[in-house]
Amino acid sequence: MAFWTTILLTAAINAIAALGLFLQIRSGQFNIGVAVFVGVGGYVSGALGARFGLPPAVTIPISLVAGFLFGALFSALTLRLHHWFFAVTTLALSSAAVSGISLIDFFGGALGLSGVPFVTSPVPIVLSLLMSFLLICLIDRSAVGLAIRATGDDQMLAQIFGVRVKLLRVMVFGFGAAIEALSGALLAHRFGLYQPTDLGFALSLSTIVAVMIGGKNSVWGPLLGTFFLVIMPEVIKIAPEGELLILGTLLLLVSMFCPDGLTGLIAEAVRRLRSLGSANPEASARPDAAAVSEGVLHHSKHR
Amino acid sequence: MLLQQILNGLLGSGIYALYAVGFTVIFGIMGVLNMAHADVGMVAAMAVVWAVMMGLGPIEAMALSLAVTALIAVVIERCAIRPAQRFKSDAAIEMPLIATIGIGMILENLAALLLGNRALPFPFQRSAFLNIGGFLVSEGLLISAGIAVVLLLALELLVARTSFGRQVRAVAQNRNAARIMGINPEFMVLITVILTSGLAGIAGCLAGVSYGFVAPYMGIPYAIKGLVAMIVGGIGSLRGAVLGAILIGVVEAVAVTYFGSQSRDVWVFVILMIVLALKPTGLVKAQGVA
Repeated sequence: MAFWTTILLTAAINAIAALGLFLQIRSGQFNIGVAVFVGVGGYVSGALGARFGLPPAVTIPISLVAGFLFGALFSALTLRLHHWFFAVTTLALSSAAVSGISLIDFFGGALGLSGVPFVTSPVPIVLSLLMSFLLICLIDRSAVGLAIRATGDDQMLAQIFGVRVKLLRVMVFGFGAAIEALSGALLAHRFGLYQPTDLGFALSLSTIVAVMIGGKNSVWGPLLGTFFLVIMPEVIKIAPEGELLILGTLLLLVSMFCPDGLTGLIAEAVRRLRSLGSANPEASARPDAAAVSEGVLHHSKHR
Repeated sequence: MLLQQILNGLLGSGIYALYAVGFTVIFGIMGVLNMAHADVGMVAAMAVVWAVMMGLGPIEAMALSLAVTALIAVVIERCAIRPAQRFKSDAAIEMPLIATIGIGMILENLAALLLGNRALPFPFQRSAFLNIGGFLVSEGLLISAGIAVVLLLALELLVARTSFGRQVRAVAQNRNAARIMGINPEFMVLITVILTSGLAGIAGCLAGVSYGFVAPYMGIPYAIKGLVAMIVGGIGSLRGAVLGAILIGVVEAVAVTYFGSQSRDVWVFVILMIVLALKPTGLVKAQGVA
């Protein structure tokens, strides 16, 4: 039982990071270096606790602010970039961060930061996950959420319709980074240490896989994806390489056959069942907003 | 000392340039970044190692490696790049991005499962140092820089001067117009992906020749440097990609001397940010595409 509690708590922490990434991807900023933004939280909260003896209740909020500032600054610097090249800068950032952080003695150098005060209670983790999820749900349902989605779909079109794209991108990326930092801070206080390799590409990849397999079109996607990702290797026990091989294959399959991931498949299944239930399938197959906007985009952007 | 480091950087940048032009050409013709590109180089190098372990000669090993590379190129084009073409809006980047990342993960971990997750000695390594005019030059790096220059010149000629190059540029400019002119865009894309994967394969082998070891996860640093070189140089320009690669190579070599080997990736990122802040379009203006 204790074993599964540990696994599920790890999944909960990862899910927080996945929720942050979900928000960033929605605004059209594909962040391949998530682990760096997670690490900002872990290192800031951890170092303040380990070096100055501040309690986690003080350092975690500080790390959230640090995460927001770092994310907003990074997004502001890369505003002019096309989606693809934004993704590449986050990739370069992650390799720079791994070696950069090992040069700083304050953060424990190459050996990593140790002596971070422990938080053993699962309550803060569960609360953080609930709050992040509710917050992102609220944002997603609001007018701001619509503006975020519009920006992610087509930046120029969104601008024409009056979305302040630059401000939105910076704020959303900062906010996502703050949520990712929260996940990192929880991680640091759970294990008592944070290492430079924790900022690397490998850990970013698992968060990306979680969001994409879960589905990037629903708030439930990152949750579903993360829990799938954490539980899968415990059920089928194989070498880590084999596990990554499976994840790579899943990514490829998602991109080829179901771009909306698991949540997309579930939504599709529910729709099929409903249309089976009702006598007139046409009536229930109401076009949703996303499909309509997609239609508009196809007409406006014939390349 | 400084001149020696600049020389090392120049020689080392040949491999980066081979990767960078691959990224540039594929992005130019498809509008897609192939994140598995550098892993193709890894597979080619590992294939050589495997072939030699199986007792094949150098020529057979090279031929086998190129065949494997071409096969993977076809798989990448069919499974990752072509299906992603059906997405049209700006949001369409996610699918080809995760598809090629997925292929990269498959290649890396398949290699790790088959040959072990460790660095393997490359059979044709040249790690001797030559003394040329007072400078110490690694023989392997000299060979790889030489081969890179020849291949890059050949690529430039191919794209700029031949009928094939004209067709590729036509597809890059406007796919539909090219089709009207009787060019088969799908075929051109396939050939281009195979060609650039071949360059990546040679670059992977040259990395083995120069540094003596190949490993399943060696592709990622090269991918980052190739991509950064492309952006720094100016997207869509072959010369820009080469210039960016040289800049990255030299800065890296100098940074290692003055700030320690840990700092090289930091400086690569700093260069990227400086160029993006001052000249977001890159150092060289793109003429057409590719």
